[in-house]
Amino acid sequence: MAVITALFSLALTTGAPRVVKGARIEHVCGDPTLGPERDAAFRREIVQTALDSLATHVDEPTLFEPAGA
Amino acid sequence: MGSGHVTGTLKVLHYVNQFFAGRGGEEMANMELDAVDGPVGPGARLNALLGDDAQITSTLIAGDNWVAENEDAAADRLREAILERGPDVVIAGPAFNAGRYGLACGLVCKVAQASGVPAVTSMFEENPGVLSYRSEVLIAAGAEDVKGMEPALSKLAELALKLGNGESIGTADRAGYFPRGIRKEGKRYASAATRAGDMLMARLTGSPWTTELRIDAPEATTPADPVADLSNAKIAMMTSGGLVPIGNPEGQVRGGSTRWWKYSIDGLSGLSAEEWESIHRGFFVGITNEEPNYVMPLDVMRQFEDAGSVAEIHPVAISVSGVGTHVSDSIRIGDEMAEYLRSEEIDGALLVAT
Repeated sequence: MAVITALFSLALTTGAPRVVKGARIEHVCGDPTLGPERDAAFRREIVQTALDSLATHVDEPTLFEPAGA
Repeated sequence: MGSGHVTGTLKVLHYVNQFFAGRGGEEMANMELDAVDGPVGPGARLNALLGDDAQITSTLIAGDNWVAENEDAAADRLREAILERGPDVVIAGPAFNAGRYGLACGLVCKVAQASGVPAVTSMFEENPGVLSYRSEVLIAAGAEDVKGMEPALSKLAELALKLGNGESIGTADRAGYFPRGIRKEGKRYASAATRAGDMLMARLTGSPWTTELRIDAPEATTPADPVADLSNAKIAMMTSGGLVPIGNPEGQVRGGSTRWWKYSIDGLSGLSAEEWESIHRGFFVGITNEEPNYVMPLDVMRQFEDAGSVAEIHPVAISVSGVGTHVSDSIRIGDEMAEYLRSEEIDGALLVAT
């Protein structure tokens, strides 16, 4: 499992193995201030990073950072 | 600073979040740092409890999201504000079981201490702020919610006066704060061998006894093996963002959950704002309610599914409002979710946490 969250340091502290850095608490998986086109790309980037994390071996709580997050 | 002062009253700087300052609720959680003279909100009562020897001369106020999302920048701004006002002691909170507020209070105290100003905060034992800051910050044990405001403020006042006057605060047990793992020299009633023998006898005879060295084993999670081939994987979608079908027909609770909910997303190309909303009580849901995919990115996942990047999205999504749930319930809920995902032969899951 991968957890996508804006409070990524807390997720790492609590021991979640795969942590994906989200945008903000109120819009974790995207950013409406980017405008529709750039937001769409950013949202794909977040989900792609999350899927990649699932396929990545980790030994300890590990942060995965989407570009732009 | 504290020990250096000779006459006059101690200058106390108090930190509260947007809610306790009366600035607003979650819609104001992004407000940046503000500073005002004198006490604000619970600071009025705290000021009275401090008595004649100390006075809240200024209050710092910030939104919980602003601090949580901009930790480094917030720390810089807090440091400047504290140094500018030159307090003898800093008090933050009490934060009860409010997670982001607890983290903010921990940060305020850490920054104050690093600037040479003693500091104390108060929170409930399950507040994530305790987990993150207990070893480096003085955190008084407080109640879960505001019903415990008076005892929390009394304890803060008592500890702040001692800190400000450079007095010893005593042991964690007796003074009522979370142990920081600091051992100090002192006299015991007998040698370690005798004390260990007494403990053993007490334990064998069923009498009360207290360890001198509490060991909290860290909760260990073994990472799951990586998904070997995503294009063959069945992926489940989960959120702790309080996502529900519009109108919440199944009555998901807004916080303090003791159970979790499953909703069909079978055949949906995404989550439309006409059909889905968030009822989470712990963050401003206005943006989510305009675009529910922000709290569970089903539309993006469908694109990956259509492209063959993943084999299948599980037709049932898991949702819960992740706020105010006790740790014991959270552990059980997590176990139940894992059991369900295993029974459905899910290869991987994405959990969005707000």
